[in-house]
Amino acid sequence: MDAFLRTFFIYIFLLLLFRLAGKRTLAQITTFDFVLLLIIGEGTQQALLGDDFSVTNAFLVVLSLVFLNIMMSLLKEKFPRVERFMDGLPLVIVEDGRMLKERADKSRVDKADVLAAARKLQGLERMEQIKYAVLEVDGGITVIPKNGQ
Amino acid sequence: MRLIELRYGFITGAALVPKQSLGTRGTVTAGRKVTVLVTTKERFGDIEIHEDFEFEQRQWRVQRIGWVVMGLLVVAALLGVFGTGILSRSQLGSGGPLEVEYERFSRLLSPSTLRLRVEAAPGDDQMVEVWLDQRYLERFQIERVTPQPDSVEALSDRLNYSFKVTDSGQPVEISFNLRATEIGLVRGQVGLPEQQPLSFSQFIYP
Repeated sequence: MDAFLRTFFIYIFLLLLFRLAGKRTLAQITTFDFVLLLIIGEGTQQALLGDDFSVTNAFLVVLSLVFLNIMMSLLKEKFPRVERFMDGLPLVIVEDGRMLKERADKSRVDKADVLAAARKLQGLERMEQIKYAVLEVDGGITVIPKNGQ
Repeated sequence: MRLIELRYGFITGAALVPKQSLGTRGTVTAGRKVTVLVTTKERFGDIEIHEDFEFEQRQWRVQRIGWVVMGLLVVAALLGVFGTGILSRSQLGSGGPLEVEYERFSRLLSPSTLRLRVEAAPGDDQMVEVWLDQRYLERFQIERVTPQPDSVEALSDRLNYSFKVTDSGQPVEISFNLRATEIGLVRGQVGLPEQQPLSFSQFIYP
């Protein structure tokens, strides 16, 4: 029983923590973000497994995690509000080559991030070639170029 | 001129509408091309996107509160609210024949120390005796007792530890290295024979 309870509490804790931390916290995986992700894994590993290193316990923990995630996705499917609460919504941050300042600042996105996404995804060179840039729910930035670019 | 009502910002034909949201009314001149910018639930300008700026603003507010809470939790942890720190270390009976030093907060399966300081003079047999109540000790694993007790006696509700002391006149320091095995509030009692016991309580986090 405690395998599931442990998993459940860790799941909920991480869910709330990363929701509060914001979309951008670990989204743009820089080398350091990646390292941080690994250390977070290390930090939760002990609590997930406890002092039981049996294969059965590992099965139960992984099973609980996957099951919780499936249940959560069903819940999100059924209740859009839950989805909104858990994942947030996308947000337009550039319109017509112009940064929408409040939106960008509060979401911790700057011009350099947008330009990087524009280069990477669309091969664009300058802000004015961007029609829209959207901060997606996964924390990534998508870019829509102006027509004829 | 034709009057249209904007519900979700879908404009068929040309429209002249202020840059506003949901339910805006505007006049339309047929055949004239105007850019329309509407923030609604389903559309932002030309893109079909489900965004909600008010929700976003609320979310930012909550996030900021969340960061403050995180900061406070870190400070609390540094001070020892979750174990090992100045708010956690605690002492009882200072100046008396028996002093206890314990952690007010501890965590499941993590090590903690209970320190006793006995000032009482040893008896004729050079023994110093201390007892701890059994119900308390049942909730811990005793990893080690230093110095090693000479004998441990089980009474009905307590364990009597006897230590041999050769250098009389010096207070004896005894430490119990413990590991909590149960969650929640634990009350403990420790005492010298024929003296008022000291009671203390600890909280064990999961």
